Amino acid sequence: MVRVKRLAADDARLLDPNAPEWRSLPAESVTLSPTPLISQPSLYVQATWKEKPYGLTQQALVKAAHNGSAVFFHLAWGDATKDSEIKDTDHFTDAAAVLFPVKDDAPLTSMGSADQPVNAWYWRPDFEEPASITARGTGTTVRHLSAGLKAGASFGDGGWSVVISRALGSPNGSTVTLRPGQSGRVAFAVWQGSNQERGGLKAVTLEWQPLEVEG
Amino acid sequence: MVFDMNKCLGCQTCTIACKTLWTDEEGMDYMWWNIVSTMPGQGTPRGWQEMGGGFRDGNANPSRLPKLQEFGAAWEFNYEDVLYGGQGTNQYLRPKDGDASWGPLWDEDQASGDYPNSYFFYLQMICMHCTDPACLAACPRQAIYKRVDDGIVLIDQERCNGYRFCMEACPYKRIYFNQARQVAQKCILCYPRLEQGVAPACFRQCPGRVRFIGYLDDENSAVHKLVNVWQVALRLHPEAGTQPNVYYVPPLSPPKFDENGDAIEGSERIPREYLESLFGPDVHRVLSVLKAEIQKTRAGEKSEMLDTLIAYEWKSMFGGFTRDPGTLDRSP
Repeated sequence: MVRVKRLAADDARLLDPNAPEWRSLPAESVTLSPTPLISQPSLYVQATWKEKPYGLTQQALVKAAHNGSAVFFHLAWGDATKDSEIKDTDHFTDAAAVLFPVKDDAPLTSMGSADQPVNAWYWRPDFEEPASITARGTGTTVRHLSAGLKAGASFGDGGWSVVISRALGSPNGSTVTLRPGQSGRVAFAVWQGSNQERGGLKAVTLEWQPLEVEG
Repeated sequence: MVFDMNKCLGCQTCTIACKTLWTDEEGMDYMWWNIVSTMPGQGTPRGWQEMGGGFRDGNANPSRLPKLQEFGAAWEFNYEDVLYGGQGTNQYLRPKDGDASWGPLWDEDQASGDYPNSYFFYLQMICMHCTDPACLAACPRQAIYKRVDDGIVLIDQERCNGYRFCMEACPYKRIYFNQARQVAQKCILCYPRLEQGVAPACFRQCPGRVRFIGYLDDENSAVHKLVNVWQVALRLHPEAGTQPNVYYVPPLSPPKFDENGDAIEGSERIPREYLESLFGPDVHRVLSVLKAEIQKTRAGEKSEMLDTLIAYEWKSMFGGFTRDPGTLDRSP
């Protein structure tokens, strides 16, 4: 259960993953597992990663808050190396995402379906702002920049702490609605760049987590 | 497409034609959508032939991403130190930070064999625009497509997310990653030129008349005759299973010299096993056919095959794509 607690703090404070306001909140430990190999749409990926471990991140600590105007998800996970920019042709950055069903009933491990889209807030350390991504099945993701998403990130203590944020309500037709007092569902994903994780090669919550936004 | 390896001088005019036309933008400095490698040699990215990719037994064959250093990154030079460092002739121009350990043509003209029987030839590489592209199959989001009308394989620059599975999957390692734009990029067969009836730049600018282009089923085209009728043009590494659409007329060899410096008649300096490792066992038949045609002409007979390869009429090489690019409307 991920509870989005109402906090009286301004956006700038809550965007800082190290802000004291976050320390007062209990963290929900979320188990992450590799996305099943069989669900990778590319046979090349299936053949190449059959013996190679991926989705190495096993756990994330999740906190969530809102201040009446915006909602903030605080994710923390372990990563031995800080991969914050693409340094070589064979190098990838770390990344994380928060996923929502646009309407209540969307399948998770297939990234939605044709008539049941999902919406992700995708953070990358080398993006100026997180991307809002809609998907109607694996391999169909569409990225929208300038979606009003914001993030704050810090690397230390053997891992990342990242806050991803968006205005409450429903800023845009193709994205999820989040309002105080509402319950819904949420899922999480983490990519380890040092393991060449990208696209479908990631660690995810295999099931939707219940989400409650405090009134 | 057909490349006649017997005529290539390795002048790299094709390479520069492509570079100045397409890959002179940000993130593209290390890219060589066209390159001519000396063989035997490691090529670029170095050791690409041992990296895997393509298909094996009908399944995707795993490979890996080459590093920038293996492609041969564009070196940064110490211009500031030399020109403004105030050290006069104590400072000389050189690559910075030990950049110069490999380049895309590092082993150019290095040759193999022992003097006086050294040997090498040039291998011209562009995207093969395969009929069964491993890159297209590898992309999990279908960002690569093969055009129905002309078979040109393209990476959709809007759809690509820079996952680079295509880069791994290509057995010829002809795909590059643009680090600035975070997308995969490769030879586009100059499709904007082809759409206007103009041959691709690397084909048209080749002074050696090495490159033929045309539709394989156009019975009037040189490519049809070379590939389908006389069958003297072969695929490179056909075992990779992607059905490339660039074919090669394999290189004949000069004879070996004996200890006295006399040519050993009938000998060949390029080892047949090496050519077979590149083009398959059919290479032996093709070399025999080429030699027979040369014998014919030396006996005073005509050879339509050799006339086609020699390309006395330059425009005959381009399968109808003979328009002069200077006539294109290139208003901004």
